[in-house]
Amino acid sequence: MKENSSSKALLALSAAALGIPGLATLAPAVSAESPPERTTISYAYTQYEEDDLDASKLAVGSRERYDIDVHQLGLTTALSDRYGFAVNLARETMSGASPQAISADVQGDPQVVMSGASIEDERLDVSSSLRRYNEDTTVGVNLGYSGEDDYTAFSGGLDGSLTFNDRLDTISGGFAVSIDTVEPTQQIGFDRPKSEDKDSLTVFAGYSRIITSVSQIQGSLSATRKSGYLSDPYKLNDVRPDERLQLAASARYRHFIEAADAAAHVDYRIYGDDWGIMSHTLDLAWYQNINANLQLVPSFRYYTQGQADFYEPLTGLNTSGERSSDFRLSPYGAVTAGLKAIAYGYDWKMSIGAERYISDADFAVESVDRPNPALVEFTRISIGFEYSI
Amino acid sequence: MKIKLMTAVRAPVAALLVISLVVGLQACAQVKPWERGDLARSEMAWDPDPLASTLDAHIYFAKEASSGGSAAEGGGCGCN
Amino acid sequence: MTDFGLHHYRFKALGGPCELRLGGERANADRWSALAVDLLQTFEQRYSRYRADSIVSKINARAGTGEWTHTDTMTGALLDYAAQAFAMSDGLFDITSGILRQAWDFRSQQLPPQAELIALRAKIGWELVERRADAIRLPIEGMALDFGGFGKEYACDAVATLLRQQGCQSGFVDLAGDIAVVGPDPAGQPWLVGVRHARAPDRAITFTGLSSGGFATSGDYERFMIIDGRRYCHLLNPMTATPARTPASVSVAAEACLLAGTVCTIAMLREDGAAAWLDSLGLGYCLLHDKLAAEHDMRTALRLGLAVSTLPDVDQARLRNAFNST
Repeated sequence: MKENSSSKALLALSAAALGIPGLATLAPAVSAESPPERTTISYAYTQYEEDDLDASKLAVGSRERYDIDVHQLGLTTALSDRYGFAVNLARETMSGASPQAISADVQGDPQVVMSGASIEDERLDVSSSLRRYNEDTTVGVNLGYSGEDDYTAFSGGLDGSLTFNDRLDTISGGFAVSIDTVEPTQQIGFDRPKSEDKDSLTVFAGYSRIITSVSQIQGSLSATRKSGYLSDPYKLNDVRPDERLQLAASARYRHFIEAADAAAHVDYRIYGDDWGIMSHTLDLAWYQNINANLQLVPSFRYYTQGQADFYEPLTGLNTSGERSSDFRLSPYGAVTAGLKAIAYGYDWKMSIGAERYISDADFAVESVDRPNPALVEFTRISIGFEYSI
Repeated sequence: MKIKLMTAVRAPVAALLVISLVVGLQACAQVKPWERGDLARSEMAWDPDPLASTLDAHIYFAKEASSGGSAAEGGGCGCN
Repeated sequence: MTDFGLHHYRFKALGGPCELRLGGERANADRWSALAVDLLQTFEQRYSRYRADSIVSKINARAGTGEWTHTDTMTGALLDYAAQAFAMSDGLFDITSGILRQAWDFRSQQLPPQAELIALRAKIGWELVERRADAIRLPIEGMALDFGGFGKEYACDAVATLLRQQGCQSGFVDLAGDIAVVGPDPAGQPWLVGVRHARAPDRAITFTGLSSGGFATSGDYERFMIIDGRRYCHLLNPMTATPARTPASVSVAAEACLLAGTVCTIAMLREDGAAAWLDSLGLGYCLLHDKLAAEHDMRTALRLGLAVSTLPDVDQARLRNAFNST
């Protein structure tokens, strides 16, 4: 009996030795790609609230813009020592009115025509991925569905990664397709289409590299081709091209600062499309460890975009050709500031965060003559919980 | 107008070239496997909180003109 | 191919002599030895208690302040290993027992005052250490961790693993007697490893063959003093705060140098129960008894019951060859 328990203890000791990085004497595959070791369940609740439209900017309709409640549920697990599986569910409940057109007041200043009644809608989003892990490569299959009253999207994709040069470098790439259907809710007096299709194909490639023992960098490029019905059926006089090519290049950088016990995140993205829009996004975050169980994460984001070629600051300036006065195609800039606190336990993690987003034509890089009055500002509060088995 | 159109699409490509050059030039230091403890910290991940960043991408996709970047995203939505 | 051969490197690392024997082309062997030096230096920087900026010193400096110290993956895994060794040894292998060195000075030829030992004893105990997923905290001021009991053995394995990954197929790493094999000798034969004679430590009492894994020895001759005929050696029992009445030495061959080293230490601390415990593990070992004298050879020691050995024997013809050729 004694013999048995001693050799069992030795096995346990060997197992503990194996867990130490660099000691692969007993099993050579320690440094290979592998699925998540633990099963993790995560939940997040987010309350998203857009500011009411300023009375001076309202032409007609409701001042109340979108409020959204979001519940997200996620699961990541290993199916075997070679396969990992993840599924995410999101349920959104939206209410509020949305901008339909931009008109001019008596002085000629632009004002927003809002939809009269509050819109209520729900969206369900399911996405899942299955990934195979090999010695130096991974391959994943992704499937997704998003459904609302008036919009359905099915998406799928493949992606892969390859690590080399003693695991210092990793290249990744893949593609995704999405097949969407718009079935606008009808309203008397509006000539909305019944059902329209829209397809998109995205390809992307990335390259990441470990620079020093405390820093790593990643560069990537994605290209998306959209075709079909790309206009907004709820906006008046909104006629957009039926094709769109979008390119985005991004760089991400992570640096750990030992002296501060903090990690700095710097992300930058440049974007351009054949509608003439160009944008820059800068994301900064600082992950400050307060102690082993608490992290504070202040973050800052700056975004600026130019206008689409066919953007018109007042709806109806043009009556033929491509045209839209959607604020999202207008020139503006936006700033987001956020703060998040994350508490860690041995097998759980909890987070609480708040964020404020403001956008303004004055934040744009170029000066804007006639700012779009429908630009959005929102506040977001979220809590999250994660448990690992 | 045609010229501007081309500029918008070309800018990310030009930027990518610069980025790859910067990434590619960092070849000098060979960080040994046993020196990568700090890189393995959760706060050093490209994406420390996937649930939150999925929602981030979704919100900005719905409220701004730009999308894309470091990975392929799922389907669109009718969000306004 | 002209420069293919067995290359030899000696340098100081982790406070002791390090020896590398690497088979291959000269240029490769030079590169491998540079990598080994590099790894050992990094390891020393991170885990030496003599360096104020090491993780161990950081943890120790915060003892009793209530402050947590972040532990990265590797440090966490080393601590997990220490926890497992603590459990396996019923508390004898305890990396918090290093502070006893403050009381036991083996050059002084004096026993420390009992009061000092009692005071130190209160600050020892792995079970007191508080751990979280990625952090550690020592609850009592003056408490300290010491990776000396297993760090060197781990580093030895890590070097061997690294060199193997770098394409080295033949060679071994010897850190002051702790050995990890990279691969068998250039002829594909096991390396000949000598077991130190505990009462004549510059001589080998026997040899064994090693073609993989690791080999380690723990002996009472490393640091000791003799007072009133009793030998007090550096292997301190954390429960009694005094040196264990150990066998003269224990050598073990195992899958890894780290395991071999830990098993040696625990066996020594088990005093009279050492041989029975080693038998129950099923590892190859050689135990030399405390009563062994310098003039005893292995055959005599075995006959008189002063030694036990389950290490694989070396072919006598090969042994002769090895010594004739050098």
